[in-house]
Amino acid sequence: MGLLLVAQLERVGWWVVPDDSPPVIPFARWPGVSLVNPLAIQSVHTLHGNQRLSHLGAPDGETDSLTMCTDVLCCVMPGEFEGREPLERGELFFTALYERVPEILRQLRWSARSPLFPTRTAGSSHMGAFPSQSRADHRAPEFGGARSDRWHGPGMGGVV
Amino acid sequence: MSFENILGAADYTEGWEPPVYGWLLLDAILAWTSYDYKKSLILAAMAAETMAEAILQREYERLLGGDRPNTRMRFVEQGTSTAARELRDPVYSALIETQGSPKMKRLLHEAALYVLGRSLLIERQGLYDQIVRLYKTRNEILHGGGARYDTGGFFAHYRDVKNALRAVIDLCDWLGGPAGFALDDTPLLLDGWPAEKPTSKPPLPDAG
Repeated sequence: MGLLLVAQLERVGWWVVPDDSPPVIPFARWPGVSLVNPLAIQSVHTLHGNQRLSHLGAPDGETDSLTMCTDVLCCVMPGEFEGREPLERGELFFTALYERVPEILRQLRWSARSPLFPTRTAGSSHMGAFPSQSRADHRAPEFGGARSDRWHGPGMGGVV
Repeated sequence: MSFENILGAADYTEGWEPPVYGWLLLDAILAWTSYDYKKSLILAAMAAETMAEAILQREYERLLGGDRPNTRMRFVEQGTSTAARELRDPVYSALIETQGSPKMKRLLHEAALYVLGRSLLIERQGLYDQIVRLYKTRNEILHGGGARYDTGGFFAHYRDVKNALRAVIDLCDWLGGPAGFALDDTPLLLDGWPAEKPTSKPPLPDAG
């Protein structure tokens, strides 16, 4: 079981997927991390949308938004979280979220020679920057986060 | 963003780092799509200058490290002591060390002709003029408080900045830099804005 990390313009989320579910592209820079063909998200959602890690704080109904994601970046980290305590898994997840995703986006932007991925909205994306808010604010209570109402909020996005 | 782009990104390995001028150009495009036109012009000019310098330097170092004697360059050993002596080309150094606006002209003409054996001024004077004009605009923004519209610089608006960015992308192609910078498919909310000015004024309301 791995974590599917989804970063979009103003949302960052996670869904649980079996390791062999999406067609993944090995990510050379970080062994164990893979990019997922965005086209596969629909099927991932269809097949495994209910297999979210509810203890990470994702409320019911959030998976619906996944079907609307067309310009998304996903990375799967199979095995990276196995054998870890839940608290440590959460820390690892947010480490990946905040440290790897900007770099992955940077590589994607360079590969496409375009500054605009993944957003298709003018003026909303900024290379390399990330929200200034403390990541603890966005962690689920089980992992020390203060937010319990939503698993993502306005402060999470806009610059991913 | 195509699937091929994703595949390309996945292939980057540890130590991967694109050229600085590439990021400057992407940031310039981003600023353009964000309607931050003066910033886009400044970044585009920086990208053009850094691009020319970097690609000329890369070629210079390739020639310097070549096995066969190079008859075009003037490599000589220089240094104050035997230990510090190194091979360099003082003509090249003089060509690229010029500061200020003439530097851009010199990079694109004399230095390019010397190192690459080609001159943008000779081969594509129109593009050469555009880049020099962009650099002049950059100086007007930074040192004159803003782009002045009476000096022939690029206007700080959508269409003119797009032309400036296109010129830098063309320069990158001419210099043999990375290809494929996306400009035309940018998802502007108001694509094509500002619209062409009407060719005639609307009729005045009847005075009666």
